[in-house]
Amino acid sequence: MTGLKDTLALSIKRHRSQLCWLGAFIIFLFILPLFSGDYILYMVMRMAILCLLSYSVNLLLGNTGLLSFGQAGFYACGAYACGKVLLAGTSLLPGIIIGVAVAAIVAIILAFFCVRHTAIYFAMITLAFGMMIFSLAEKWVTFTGGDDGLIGIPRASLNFFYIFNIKMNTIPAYYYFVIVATLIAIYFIYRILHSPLGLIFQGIRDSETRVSFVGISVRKSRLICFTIAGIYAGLGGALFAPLEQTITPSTSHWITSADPIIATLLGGMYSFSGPIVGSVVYFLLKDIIVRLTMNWMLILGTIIIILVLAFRGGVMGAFHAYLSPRLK
Amino acid sequence: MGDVILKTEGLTKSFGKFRAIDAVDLKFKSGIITSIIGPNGAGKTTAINLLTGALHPDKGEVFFKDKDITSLTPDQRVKHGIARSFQIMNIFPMLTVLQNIELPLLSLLGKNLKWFHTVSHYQDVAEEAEKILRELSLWDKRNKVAGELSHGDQRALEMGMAIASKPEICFLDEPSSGMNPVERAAILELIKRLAEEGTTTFVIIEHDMDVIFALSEWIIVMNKGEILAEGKPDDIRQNNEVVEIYLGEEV
Repeated sequence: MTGLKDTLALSIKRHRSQLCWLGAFIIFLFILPLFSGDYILYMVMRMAILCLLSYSVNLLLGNTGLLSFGQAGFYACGAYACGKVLLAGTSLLPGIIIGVAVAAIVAIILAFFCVRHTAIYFAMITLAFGMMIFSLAEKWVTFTGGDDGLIGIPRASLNFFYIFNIKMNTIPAYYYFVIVATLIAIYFIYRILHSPLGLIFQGIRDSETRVSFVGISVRKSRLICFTIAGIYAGLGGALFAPLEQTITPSTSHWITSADPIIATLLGGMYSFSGPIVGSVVYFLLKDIIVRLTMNWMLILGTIIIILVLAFRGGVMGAFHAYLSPRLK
Repeated sequence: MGDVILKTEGLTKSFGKFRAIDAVDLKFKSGIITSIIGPNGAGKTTAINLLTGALHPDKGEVFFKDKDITSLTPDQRVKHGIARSFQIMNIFPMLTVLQNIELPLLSLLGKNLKWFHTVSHYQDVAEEAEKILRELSLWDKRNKVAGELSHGDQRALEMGMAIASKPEICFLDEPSSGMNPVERAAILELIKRLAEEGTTTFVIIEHDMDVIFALSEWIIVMNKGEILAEGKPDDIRQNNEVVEIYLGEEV
């Protein structure tokens, strides 16, 4: 078993520099509120939420090879459910948990219809389901508030059986909550993607028939993948509701589904950190370009075309290809 | 002669008006390397697809040790002990060589729903993968991306994936296609060794007559979706009908 030990030692060595970067990044996130205003913190929270949504998309796209145009549907399920619960006057955690649970349940139900299909059919059916959730959000006025949406969602305080009670009414306080929740979620997706289950997802991406001929049910694995993706989109939505304090039907529109797809492509869909990098770059680009010109979509579109044509692997793909070998 | 491990009764499959397989009764005996030969379009690959669950027959049944498995999906058949390799290369090109072998092992050892620990955490998977990769002489290339291997290595890897699930019967669809003579000799050697050491019964589809006569203990000749003849290699060599339609003058 010496071979195995060698591999292990090598991977630890390779991971050490990555761990240093990760540690520095997390410390940066935690000290950020000390020297930056509410706007920056708000932007970082939006990045974190987009990042969760991007992981949701990329679990399907980069790892299982399925492009979903309907993740905004689960995002909205999380957001509306969380908003409704918080409006009823509970504390923060029940809102988040119920938001995630509702998104998960909807994902499981829709998964049975979606996982039969692949490629363009999967994209279309998820788009259709996403738009169904959109019209539900728009028309079910008594529950969702229709076009006006849910207004005045409180950023309820975080308490746990009177053990602790943390007020969330300031931006920095909620910032810490979002960052911690996002980091925990990213840790779990990291574990999933490096586990046997994650390997199976990647196998399905490479060759569906081969996976079934090594004795694994492709349908069942896709179902699990779709549900986890729904949970991540739901968590993003649940965190989004108290941040914005208003949820409108546009949360569930397919345009909202497109954001994480673009972010994932920007960051690189075959790299674990792709969705994180992509979300940050996407928001920065948007924020910078919007200041320069009204036609920011035009410029963003151009950048995306260049990326797709020249850098298939996104920012992280380019990093691994050009920079990483030189750093060794 | 071993027991019948897999058999079909009246197996029929049509694609549109073309009858690829016509009421075929196949029988495979445990421990006997069997080859299926026949001209292009004889229905060899269709037969394998029906036996392994990639296709469902229009008529007829497939029995694995007297159990009717006609309605089972490919992954369920693998669980019963039926594995295969493909005529057109079918590996996981973006995964590493090691990961390619780990996938069938995860399924075999019931680790396919584990989601928290890394794959390398599971000792039994790691040990078994090392054993198989050493057998295939691919251990040194375990961290390479599978799509970057040479053609011969990819073929060997695909066979490794088929035998990793410890099948009782394993179908190899043209295992030596596209190989150079050196690689061909190596893969032949490998099949022979695996057949002698292991508990797996191999069924091979081949075009290369040298491979077939070097390996097989039993040969089934198919033509136009039907079984033309079957028997020991020497009998097949002397069968006039077979020589006429398929073997030509080279034998």
